[in-house]
Amino acid sequence: MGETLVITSGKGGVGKTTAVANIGAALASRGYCVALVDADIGLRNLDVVLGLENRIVYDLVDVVDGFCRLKQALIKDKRHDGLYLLPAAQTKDKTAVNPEQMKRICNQLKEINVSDEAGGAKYFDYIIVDSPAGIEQGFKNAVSGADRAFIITTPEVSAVRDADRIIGLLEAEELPDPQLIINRIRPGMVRTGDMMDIEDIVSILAIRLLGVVPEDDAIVVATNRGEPVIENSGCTAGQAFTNMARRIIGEEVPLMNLDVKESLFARLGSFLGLRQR
Amino acid sequence: MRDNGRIVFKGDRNGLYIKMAQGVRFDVLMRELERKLAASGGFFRGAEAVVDVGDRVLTTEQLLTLESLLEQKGGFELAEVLHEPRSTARTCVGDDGARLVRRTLHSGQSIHHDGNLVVLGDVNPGAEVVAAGDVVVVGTLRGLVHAGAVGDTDAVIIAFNFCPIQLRIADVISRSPAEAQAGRPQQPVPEIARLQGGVIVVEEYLSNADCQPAPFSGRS
Repeated sequence: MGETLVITSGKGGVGKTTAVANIGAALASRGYCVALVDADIGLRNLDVVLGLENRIVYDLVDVVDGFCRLKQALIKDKRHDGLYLLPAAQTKDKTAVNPEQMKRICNQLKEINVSDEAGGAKYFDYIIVDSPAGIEQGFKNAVSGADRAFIITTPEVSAVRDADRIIGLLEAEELPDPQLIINRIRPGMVRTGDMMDIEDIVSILAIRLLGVVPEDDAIVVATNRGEPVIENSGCTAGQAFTNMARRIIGEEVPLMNLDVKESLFARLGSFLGLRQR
Repeated sequence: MRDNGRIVFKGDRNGLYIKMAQGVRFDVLMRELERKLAASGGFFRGAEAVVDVGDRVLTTEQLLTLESLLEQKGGFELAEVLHEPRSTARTCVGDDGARLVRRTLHSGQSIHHDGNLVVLGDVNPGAEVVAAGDVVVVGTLRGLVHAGAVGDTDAVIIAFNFCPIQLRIADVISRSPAEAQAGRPQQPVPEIARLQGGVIVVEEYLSNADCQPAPFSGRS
């Protein structure tokens, strides 16, 4: 039986969609069958980040309204076997779906057989829902079908505030024990005291940490190209997402030491005569 | 003039002693005081006044009204306000009414309680704790706490790590100094906030008797 995960944040632009795409791709590349559900109706992005925009025929709202079968709306990823996308509608808004319907879709996804072969059987191991920003109906839809929640934040006071608000709302939605993803951390700035550090954030939010993603230019490049960053083996952010995927499936993976990497750069920088703060 | 005994004037060598009756509304008392001051015809001008308010608790606003009335109508200075230790009144919001909240309060969550409140966890920014009595946070206080929300000026707020956005006791509001927000506290110490002379004073919480607030005495 599959498990439904939701990645949410409250604040916009902190990396929900990027995290969904990359964790999903990382799980799929480890052999799991994964469905990504874009719950950001009206402002869909997940299809763009995955480079699947031009393959959309049916979407989530079409399924809810009964215009198509669930399997027709699922788009198979072009790179990873076992990775599928259920896109959001772009021409509707959040009220097009209600939490009950969303819950039903998540449950149907757990039961659907996505095998191409006749007589074969392949079921989703993970369903990852990409939540819209905000705390209104879109958020409520996204979390309604979830079994586990992940909250993503950046090391900024405003993003952490919003994440804290989400923790309270998840408690009310009876989705206890969410885990935290800290995105776009810059070890150099943390060291100089210009950025909140991991410890500060975890102590305020008081939830378990799933992983930390360092700021990485490769993310911007990969997102614009419409491919998950985990493809790029030399990329620390990609490694961080892969580690998170491994933690989700229950492996014990220690946190990356971001500082070592940074100090290597610093040393390199000083060797080249560059000034670093 | 008929004297109904709501306001009693007594002169002694230090000045004037004014006793206010119990169980009478404050505005009624003030009207009565104004009449008596007018009747005295400036006899006490220049003297110092000590006002005994009994077991009532004056709000800052009431205190200011009283002060200006004495000054303008009677021409004397308010030297001191006496009030009885309100032991009975305290017991009402005392041990029976205490509520224990065993979790961290996140942004957007609020707890209202008509007694004393203990939070075993943090109170985060955007969270709200409102209690009629005292509030104790066994954790870090970063949000908003209102103690003595129905007017108890003896109410106190205690937290193990004190960095609130705003504090309220009775009808007094204070925000934390901006510089206290910046930077991490080196070693958090338990602190206590209480009303002193109409302002909220925060100091290190010591369990010595002289530092201990009145509300806690007599409770074991």
